[in-house]
Amino acid sequence: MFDLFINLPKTALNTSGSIACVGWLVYWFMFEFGLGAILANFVAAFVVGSLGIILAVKKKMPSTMFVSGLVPLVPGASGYQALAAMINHSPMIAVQKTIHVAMVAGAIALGYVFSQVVVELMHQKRR
Amino acid sequence: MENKAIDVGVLAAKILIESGSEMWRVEDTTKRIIDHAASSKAEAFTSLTGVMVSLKNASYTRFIQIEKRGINMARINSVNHLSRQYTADKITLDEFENGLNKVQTAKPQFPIWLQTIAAGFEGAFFMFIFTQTYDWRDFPLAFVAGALGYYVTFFLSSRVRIRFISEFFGALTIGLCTVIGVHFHLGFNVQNIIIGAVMPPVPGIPMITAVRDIFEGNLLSGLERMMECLITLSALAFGIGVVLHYM
Repeated sequence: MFDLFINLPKTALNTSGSIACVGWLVYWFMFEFGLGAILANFVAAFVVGSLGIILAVKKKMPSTMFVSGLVPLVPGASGYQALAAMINHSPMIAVQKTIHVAMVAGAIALGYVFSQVVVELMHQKRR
Repeated sequence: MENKAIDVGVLAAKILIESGSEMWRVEDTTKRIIDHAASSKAEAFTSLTGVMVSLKNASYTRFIQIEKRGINMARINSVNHLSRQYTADKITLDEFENGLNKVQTAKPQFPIWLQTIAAGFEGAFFMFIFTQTYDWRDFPLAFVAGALGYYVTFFLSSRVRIRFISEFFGALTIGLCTVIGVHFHLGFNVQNIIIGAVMPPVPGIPMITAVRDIFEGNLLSGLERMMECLITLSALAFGIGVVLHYM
């Protein structure tokens, strides 16, 4: 949640941080209610993406600013476990973990892109 | 006039790509800038290593090479702001060019020591987020390892021309730091600390940008970015792997 040090403009720091916080909370609750890591990641990325676009329009900033909310969702721990399994000569577990990482990363990307699709569709309807 | 506009457009594209913007924004900004001044439409070809811009009915073409890339959201924001002002006729082309030059030479907003400390905090908090074990005894070591790893990566990448070496040595530093610290009972769980501390140099945002590029149809830059991220990730993995294998 406190993951912002890559040279954001100071005015965007708070907003970006709160978006990241909301995204992580969504993921956390969905994961705890047993909805599975992939769906949780998808919805959380969707929420982060939509909030980012809405706020970008409101503050007239590029929406890329608020992407950092996705960083805590990236499956770092599973990636590490895959690496550790590879070193410990257990390739089966490593492949399993790698596929899990790839699927979660795909879910995050899809969620983010999906939010853009929804925003674009809504924008067209209004016109 | 057209000559000048195309120069400024290419400069804006260069700054945007160097700051890690997505390709859709680069193309859009460049075209808007040039179309605003020139009589004929502009066409742009963008990739991560170079931009080519040409006018349709006039003999003006520019090519610019891009050598280093990073993430700098503040620059993207100011270029965006400037080009909005320009297309709304609030500033002239000359003022726009001066503004871009100022953006290009501006110092980073946060000094390196602050970035290093932030990287330490990032590493330490990511340890809690990812592993979900709230073990406060590991906090100081994760902080130190994360900050040191980030600093080594930064130091090497600003001094060595060869790519991916800096990430490798950064990961090596993190691994060594953690293992030695745990050996002297400053921390307890090697795995958790490494997972957290290695996060600052991991290219999370470029990866998301890569996927966005691909989905928006910029296949070339998307694949380039994806490849860059994967090699960076493998460099980090090799660094950690070497430590884990021999310690």
